Amino acid sequence: MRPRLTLALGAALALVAAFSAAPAGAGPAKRVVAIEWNYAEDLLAVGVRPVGIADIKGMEDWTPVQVPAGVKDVGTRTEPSLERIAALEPDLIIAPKGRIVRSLDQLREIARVKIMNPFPQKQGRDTQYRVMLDELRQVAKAVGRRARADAVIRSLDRSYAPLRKRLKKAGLARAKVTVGMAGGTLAAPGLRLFTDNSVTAAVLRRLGLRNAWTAKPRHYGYTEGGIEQLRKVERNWFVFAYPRQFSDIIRGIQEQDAWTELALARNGRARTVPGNTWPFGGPLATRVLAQRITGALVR
Amino acid sequence: MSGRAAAVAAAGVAAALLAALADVLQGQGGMTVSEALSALTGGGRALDRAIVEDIRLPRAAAGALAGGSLAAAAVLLQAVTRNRLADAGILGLTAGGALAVTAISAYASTATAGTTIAAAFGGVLAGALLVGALAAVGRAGPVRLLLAGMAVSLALSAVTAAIRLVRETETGGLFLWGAGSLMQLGWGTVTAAAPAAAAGLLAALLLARPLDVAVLGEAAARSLGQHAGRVQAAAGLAAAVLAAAAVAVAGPISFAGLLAAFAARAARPRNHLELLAVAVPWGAAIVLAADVAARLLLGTESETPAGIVCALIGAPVLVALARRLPAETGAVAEPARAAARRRPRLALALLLLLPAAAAASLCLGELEVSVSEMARAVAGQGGPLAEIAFDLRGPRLAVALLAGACLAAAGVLMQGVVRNPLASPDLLGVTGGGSLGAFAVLLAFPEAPSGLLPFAAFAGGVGALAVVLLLAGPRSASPSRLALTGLAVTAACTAVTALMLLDAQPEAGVAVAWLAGSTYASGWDELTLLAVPAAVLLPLALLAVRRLDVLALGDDAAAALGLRLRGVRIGLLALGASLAAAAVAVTGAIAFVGLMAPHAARLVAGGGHRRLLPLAIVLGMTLLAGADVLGRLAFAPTELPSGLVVAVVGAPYLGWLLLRGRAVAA
Repeated sequence: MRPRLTLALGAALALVAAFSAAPAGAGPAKRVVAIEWNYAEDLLAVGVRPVGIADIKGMEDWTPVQVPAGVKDVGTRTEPSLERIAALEPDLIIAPKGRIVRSLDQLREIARVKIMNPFPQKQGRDTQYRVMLDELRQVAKAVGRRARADAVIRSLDRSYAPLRKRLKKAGLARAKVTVGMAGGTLAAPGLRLFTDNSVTAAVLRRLGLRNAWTAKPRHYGYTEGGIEQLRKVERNWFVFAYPRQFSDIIRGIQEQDAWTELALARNGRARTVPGNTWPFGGPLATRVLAQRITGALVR
Repeated sequence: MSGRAAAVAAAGVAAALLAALADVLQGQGGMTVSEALSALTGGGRALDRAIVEDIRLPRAAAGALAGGSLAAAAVLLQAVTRNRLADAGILGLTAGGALAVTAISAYASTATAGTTIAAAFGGVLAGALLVGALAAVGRAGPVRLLLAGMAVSLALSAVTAAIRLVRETETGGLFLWGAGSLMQLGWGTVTAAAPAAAAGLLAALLLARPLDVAVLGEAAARSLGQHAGRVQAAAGLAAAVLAAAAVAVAGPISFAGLLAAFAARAARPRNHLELLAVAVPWGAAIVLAADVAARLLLGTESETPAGIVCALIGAPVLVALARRLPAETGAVAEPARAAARRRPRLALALLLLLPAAAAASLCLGELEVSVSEMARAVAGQGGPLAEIAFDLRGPRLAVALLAGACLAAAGVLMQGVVRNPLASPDLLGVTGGGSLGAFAVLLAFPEAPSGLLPFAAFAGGVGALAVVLLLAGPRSASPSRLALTGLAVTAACTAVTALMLLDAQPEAGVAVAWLAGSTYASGWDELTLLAVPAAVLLPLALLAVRRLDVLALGDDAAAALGLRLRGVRIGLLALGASLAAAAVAVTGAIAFVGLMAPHAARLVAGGGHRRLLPLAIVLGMTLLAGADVLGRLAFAPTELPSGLVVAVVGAPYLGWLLLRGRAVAA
């Protein structure tokens, strides 16, 4: 067993080395700057360390992905420092459409720019999940790691089966689940509930569950309102998937009678995921999301 | 209390109760009306009772508390300023609270409810102090104070927007609150704010009689043995406490207080006690009705802030009120020329700041390029690195300089026409119209290239001014009427834009980024877009200095000197609006430059426009170029939008100016 694994690893390394040795110019990009966290994650997922990421501290605060040492911060995602990016001498800059409205021309002077569109105009069931995988492939292709992207996607796909099994064993096959993220302020906490076009809803389906929140798909994949919304889905399961910044808000919500009287709270069908999840991330954050939703439900 | 006032007050209470009942019957949980009714009367499911008790009743209570407090605050502010158009929202008090809460959320995400409320109080109080300082020096006329309040309000909102741009993820949850949402969970916020509201209301009731005397004028008040200053200060403080309570529970809501006081005056109350008794219940009714209407019209699937509806109702009422204002005729005291001294040496020192800022902007940055290399790059013979650095810094500097010049010139023109040293380009709807123009184009043509946006913003800005001129009516000559109409149009534009944003329209983010109030990433294309109108409009402005000087003499003198007042005013306003719109179209809404540069120029150049305008232009250039380089370098690689930097410098400057009593005198 051991030698075969070593062999496989060796082959993989050789493959990587072969790609790395590809000539510059039209070939795969080596020095990449990511202006949005999910593209930084895509790069890390296929084994490429970006030279620059926008708002590294924010990425480590809000997403479950850690950034390796040596990656430079290039400023905020809304107004990244063009000079810092230029100083990094990148050969590729990856950014979503909405972030580079002002800066596209300048970025193009610095390097090739790959423009992404994570929230397309027309969206339906699974849209954002498909876009997430598609963008991973595009990013991987740009850095010459197409094969790695396919491997990452296969591994993500495979990761659902054992989780599905665990959920089934717990009697949760085809269970209806609403996933919410807390928002707003402590004084007026709001709730973002994920609609069918979101990555989160797609993950639920891949876990053999059903998205209980059937409001019409919204652009960013969630509706925003108060906790009274949960009355509509109180017979189903509910999962708080939240960045830890909101834990105080969630505690505040759970103190209210309007929460404790919900059937889902009374019957113990309301769960909070442990640790950080980021529902707008790439394959790594999505995998963590799937694991943590499962962990919270099975408990 | 007169029978009529008592009847109208009782009707207000009934209306508020009815609106509160309707509000409690609405909600997002899919509860039927009969389920809600039985829950309200203590029957039905335990969950429904809990929802009514924890969510719906606090929401109605928040609406009543916010509306009543804003109404009482408006009554107090109207008495203090002797102006029936004063309102906590219009005077910038709620904007101060919103800024403070946004800043707390942005930089201390674990802030407790108590801290948040305390921040709201701090912010409102700061806003109130600014207004109080204005009141102390604003003896020249109540309309001036109102304009100052509007300018403060617009500027504070611009800072709030900039903070939200920088701390996007942290402030994302503030969107609903920031537009004036009544959403509550539990009684925590309402009970925390209630004592403040009660104290403010009690103070208002106690102050009712002294205010009856105070509105007679200072001389009359003094002869009746009243200390006018103390009464004004107490009333201002009470208004601040009331506004803070409202902001804490419902975010910044404008116009509700104005509408309530307006409605209350229809009952012809005999004194301030009666006025309060009528206005407070009607204020509660108005905010609650706005909340009910918003959810009836737009559904309950997502939350619709009541503040947006209040603005949409309030704006036309304000226009109507402004039209009723008597046109000011005759000379308006303009002490500028008499009071201001010329300080040539200071002027020279200020002029030298411009090349310093420009040099710093070209030579400093993340890309290390020596001064000599940069000089070669400017001449077109630099190395590749220097070329990139120059391509990034050169056009950005030039855009900052030109936008600063345009905004400063627009400020001088508008202040000259409105005859208020606190008027600013935002006041006439240019900024609000610009945003709306960009959003409207993106909504109608989602795939429109972003190159179209500056043109849409420019058209929106100038179009908004046209609407203002039309609405202000045939006698649009009246400066205060113009300014008020401008404020109403701005508020309506902002509300419509917020409505569009609510449903997270696909391309809204693009327009938000475009209109962020920043010189960030300005390139050669943006420079061309700005340089062409600037090259035409700035010389025209310089040619208008004599007319501005004549206008400053007052209407009668100007007419006697043969000036066609109406035509000249409209022409100068159009020129100012075009200048401001050209800047807004490229850099978004940058506040304070159009206010501050003319001010500072007046301090050193005196009131004559021949010197004032050029110096203001130079100062505007220096200010924005300096803010740009500071925002780029201070926390590199994190950039601060230059609009935010200008405001951080500008707000204390304005405060200092007001405290020194120069705002009106200089």
